[in-house]
Amino acid sequence: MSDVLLDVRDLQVHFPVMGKGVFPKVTGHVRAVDGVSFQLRRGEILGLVGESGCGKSTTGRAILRLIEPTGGRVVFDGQDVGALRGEDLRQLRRRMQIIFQDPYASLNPRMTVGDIIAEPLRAHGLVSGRQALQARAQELMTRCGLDPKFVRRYPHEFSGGQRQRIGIARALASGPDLIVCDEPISALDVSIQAQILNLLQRLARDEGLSYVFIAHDLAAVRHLCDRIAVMYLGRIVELGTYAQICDAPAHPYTQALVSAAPVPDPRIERTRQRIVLQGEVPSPLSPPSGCRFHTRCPARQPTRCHDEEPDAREVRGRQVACHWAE
Amino acid sequence: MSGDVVLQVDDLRTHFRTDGGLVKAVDGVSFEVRRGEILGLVGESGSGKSVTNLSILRLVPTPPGIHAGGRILFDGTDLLTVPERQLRAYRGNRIAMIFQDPMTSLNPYLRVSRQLTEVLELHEGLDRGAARRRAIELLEMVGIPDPGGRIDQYPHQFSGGMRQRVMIAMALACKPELLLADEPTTALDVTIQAQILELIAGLARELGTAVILVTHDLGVVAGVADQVAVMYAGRIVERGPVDAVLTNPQHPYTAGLLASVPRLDTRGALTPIQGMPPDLTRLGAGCAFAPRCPKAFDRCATYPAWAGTPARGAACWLADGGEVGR
Repeated sequence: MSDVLLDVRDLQVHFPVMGKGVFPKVTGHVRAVDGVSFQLRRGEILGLVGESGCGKSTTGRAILRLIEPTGGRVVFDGQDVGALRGEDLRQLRRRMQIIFQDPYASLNPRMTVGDIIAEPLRAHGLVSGRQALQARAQELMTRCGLDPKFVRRYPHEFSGGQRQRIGIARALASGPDLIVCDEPISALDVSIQAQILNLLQRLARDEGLSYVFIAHDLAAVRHLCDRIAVMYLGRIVELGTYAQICDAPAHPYTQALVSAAPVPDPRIERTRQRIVLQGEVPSPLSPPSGCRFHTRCPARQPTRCHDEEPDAREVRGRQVACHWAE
Repeated sequence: MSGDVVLQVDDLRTHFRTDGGLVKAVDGVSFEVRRGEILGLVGESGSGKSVTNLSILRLVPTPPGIHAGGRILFDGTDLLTVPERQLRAYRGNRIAMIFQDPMTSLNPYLRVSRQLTEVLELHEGLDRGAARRRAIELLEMVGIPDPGGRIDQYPHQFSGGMRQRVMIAMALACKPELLLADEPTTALDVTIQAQILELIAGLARELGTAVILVTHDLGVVAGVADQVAVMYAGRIVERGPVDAVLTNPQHPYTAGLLASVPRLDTRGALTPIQGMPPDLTRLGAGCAFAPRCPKAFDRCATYPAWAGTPARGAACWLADGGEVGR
């Protein structure tokens, strides 16, 4: 058994953009994910961070084939996910689950909590019989910090944090190896975020789960993840351990991101040098030539950053896609 | 701390009649803001921080809202009792407001130019040409590139960060003495958040605008606020200068919030606040935080007296008033 659980190679997701008119033609492509590669080891938590539109959520969904990739390969435990069909794909999905950002929209309001949590067990034929399904759902509720006596209640009777626990229990039901966590705490109140982070951390440790943890909050990612990949306009610009990324970032974009994330201590805030980026993220419809970050980069140098796209290379023990980082 | 008091809120009570019972969303809130000062109003959803801000401009719809008591003194007049006509002369002129979601607070059918010049023509009495010139100046001031070209575009042609800048430009149009900012950066990416916060801080510094910044993010407060008021279940539970409150919290709720936020600069265990925010229709006579408080004891069945001074203290039986009492 290989140590690598998930191997993502040169993943691409391009969405066609249609023109106007009665018979619209494809006028271009949004290059949401444009050549993303990383590996996830068994039991590892990898953070995928970046700002809105960088392609982090699309990457997460393309791994599970909830969105079909338009290029590249996703290999899960030795199997090429893109080549699987029908029953084989279903079997694989049992081992790869997802938790969504919005705990309100991701639970069917007409199903009881017990039925929601037991759904994967029923769908995959893992447990049969109403009694057995309910018992298993109650056990999962307990593991996720929910009172099992509420098994017959409906989602609207729960708070946001409790609903997120229901979503986590559902993801755990089929006994997965990998869970893609797509911004699981950003819709929650501050005092509840820590409860969910601690729950995810405990589950990963106790059950040997691997996560791809997608978030825009660098502090939460630092807290939970072993390694962090920073994305910008559909590409990974830096990939390293949490300490490398948060304490000594090498890519100018990571440096700006780290410097912009506020710390709840006014004494530290006053001493920090904030790198304020100029301008906005360019459109992924027509990303800039050369290095995609060069239009906003404080460290750009004439012609090379504009002309030549930097490949990932090793700098101080981590992968960085920048011509000049050292 | 020096300077003139711009706004004084005294024992404000804003309640809502709901099917579930009377909700005391704001229940006895008092504070003041001075010229050039940024007051961070911190709390989680349902704490009453946004309703406090809305009450200042009487923007809470009645019914279901009820102004159940208190005074809001602005320049010697009580905003809660002035005729609607006079209040309208204040809104957008001497008191401006910016909201969390810049898309829903701009009119999608009107060009940005019209939305900006309307304020200037109405409150400043400028003619069309002068208003347009001033509007372009304002867009330039908030950092919108090519303001002369972009002023004739519609809100949907702007990105989230740019829309929030347009909102701020509108708020600045009449050089307000008081700016009410309700989660102005929550919908934005961190690198854009840094730009917008810098803009608001500059406004307070250079124009002497007093700012009430409603936020749930302690990092944002640490970065820009001078004073902090922490709200829980409709009341202020702690108040003081930002350094004192965030580094020497007096109320267990403030301490709990600080212990539950992951930090970018360290990686320690998170201690979440147990339980969840209370149901406002079922508040008892005691401290609303007591059911979640690790230090609760029998005295907490009575609402705690304020310990300390109005400028620095907390509503907790265990608080010693911070620097004042020790």
